Amino acid sequence: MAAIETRSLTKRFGDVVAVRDLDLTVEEGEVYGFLGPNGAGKSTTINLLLDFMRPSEGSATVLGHDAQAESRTVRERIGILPEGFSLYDRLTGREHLSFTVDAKDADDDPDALLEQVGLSAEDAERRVGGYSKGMTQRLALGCALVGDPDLLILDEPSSGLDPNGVSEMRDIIRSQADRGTAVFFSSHILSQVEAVCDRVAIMQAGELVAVDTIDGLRQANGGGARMTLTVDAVPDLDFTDVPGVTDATVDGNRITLSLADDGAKAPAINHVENAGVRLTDIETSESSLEDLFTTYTSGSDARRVEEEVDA
Amino acid sequence: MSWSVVARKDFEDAARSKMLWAITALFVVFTAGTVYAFDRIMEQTATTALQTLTLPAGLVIPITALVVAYLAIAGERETGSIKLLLGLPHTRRDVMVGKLVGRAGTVVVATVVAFAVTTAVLVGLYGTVPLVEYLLLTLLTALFSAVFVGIAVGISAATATRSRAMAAAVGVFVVFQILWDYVPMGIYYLIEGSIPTGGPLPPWYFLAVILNPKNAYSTASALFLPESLTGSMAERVAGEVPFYLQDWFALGILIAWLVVPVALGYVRFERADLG
Repeated sequence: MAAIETRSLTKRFGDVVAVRDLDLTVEEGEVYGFLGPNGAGKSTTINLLLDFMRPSEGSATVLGHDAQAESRTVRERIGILPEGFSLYDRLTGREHLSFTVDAKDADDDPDALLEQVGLSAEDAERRVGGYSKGMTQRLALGCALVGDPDLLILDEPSSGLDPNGVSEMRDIIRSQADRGTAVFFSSHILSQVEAVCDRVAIMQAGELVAVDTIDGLRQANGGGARMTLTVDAVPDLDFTDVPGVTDATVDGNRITLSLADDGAKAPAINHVENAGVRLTDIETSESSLEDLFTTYTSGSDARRVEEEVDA
Repeated sequence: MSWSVVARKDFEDAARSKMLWAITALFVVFTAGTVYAFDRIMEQTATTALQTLTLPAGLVIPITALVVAYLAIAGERETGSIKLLLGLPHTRRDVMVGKLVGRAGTVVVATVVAFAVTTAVLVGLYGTVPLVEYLLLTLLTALFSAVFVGIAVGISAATATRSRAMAAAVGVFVVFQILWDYVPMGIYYLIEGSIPTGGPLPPWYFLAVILNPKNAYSTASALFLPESLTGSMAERVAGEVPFYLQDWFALGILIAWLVVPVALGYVRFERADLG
């Protein structure tokens, strides 16, 4: 049984098609990144899964239950962090958690949840009207974890969090995944998806343009590694005979090589050293998800954003 | 019972925000004050004093109920807290019922407390209270409170924003409290070409009057109180008094006002896309 399955899911608002003919499957226990620029239809898709909106065509099941007809059963077993939500200003953090525990008929300890999402006991006694965006987000995540859900649906979970909070969010997602919880989360911030996801889907203008693992996406785009060699003097070299090197450019005393795979690194370095020049630095970079994302969503060539990796 | 979680939270919110205490105090002042004031200006018995209670109730309950409940759902839609609420195992019907019960509970509690305080005033003035009539009037008034909470919750469910909910609530208030008095007269003018005078009037004229929940409430009180609007109606109706001008029919009108707006609001809410 899939955690999420949509069949030809379509949502129109008047003449505008927000989601078109979406077929998506998220397996049980899987961490699934849902990617796309703002306005691509990610939130609409999530709203359809949560029964906040009703599809124009097609259907969706969540944990094997119809998202519309059995929405209550679905909500008993999932935790959500929706887009554009707000809390009840007059209630304290702790009151939010106990209200959620009551509604879900669960027996979670509010203190344990507070600790898990990084809210102090003093924070919990305050009314949430005075919470920052980050604290609000943490509390809402705490509420989502109530009742040990089988699936977490998180819409832009890191929005409003500082870098520290983002990394904590990632840890929470990982630890939930380790317990067998499936996590479906959307983002337009790519590094977050890359770090935790088993698979990603990329959405663009209401349509799914790619579904794969991160590695799979890289490979499908010929996106191996790149390596930049800094040398004391640039030799007159031809790399066409070196296996795995697909491109070479020279800029000053730096030689930048495109590699089909990591195995090409050693032969390329040997090739340079055999020419009698001294290597002063080696940098390698993988083509980032950012590149792939740009490829899929702009339709033009990948704009490469370097991610420095120690050589 | 999922709706009861929603209802309890709503009621606790009202108590927490002091709204419950404020409207209870308001109701006490209006009901006990009216009984006292009538006693000063005219000869009253405990029973006729009871009758005068429908006046302040008809005046103060509609506006209070509308204020208490018009944001019940529209407010949560506008801020987005409805997404957390509906993300829990609550259906939209649970939310609707819970909001109706929670907010009606607030107004009903204020009503019951105000009536209880008024009992003390009645006992002080007349030494006695007609208990059965008194309890029935309390029940009827509680129903009347629930009617206006229901109208407000129905409006709130049918609208997506605070401002629209407020416009609709103000509209309801103006129509029932101010404009309605002119409706039967206007219809009469359109049909007869003249303004109704003191003489006998056709039965539908009075039906138009009691279709207003406020008038249905005071008419229905004649089921157990000696005199009411209907008493004077029966004398002014041209010909036979039809069934729809009987006191019990007014009670039916009141119940319809409780059910229909909530049902219509629910239908719209159930189909709405919550952005």
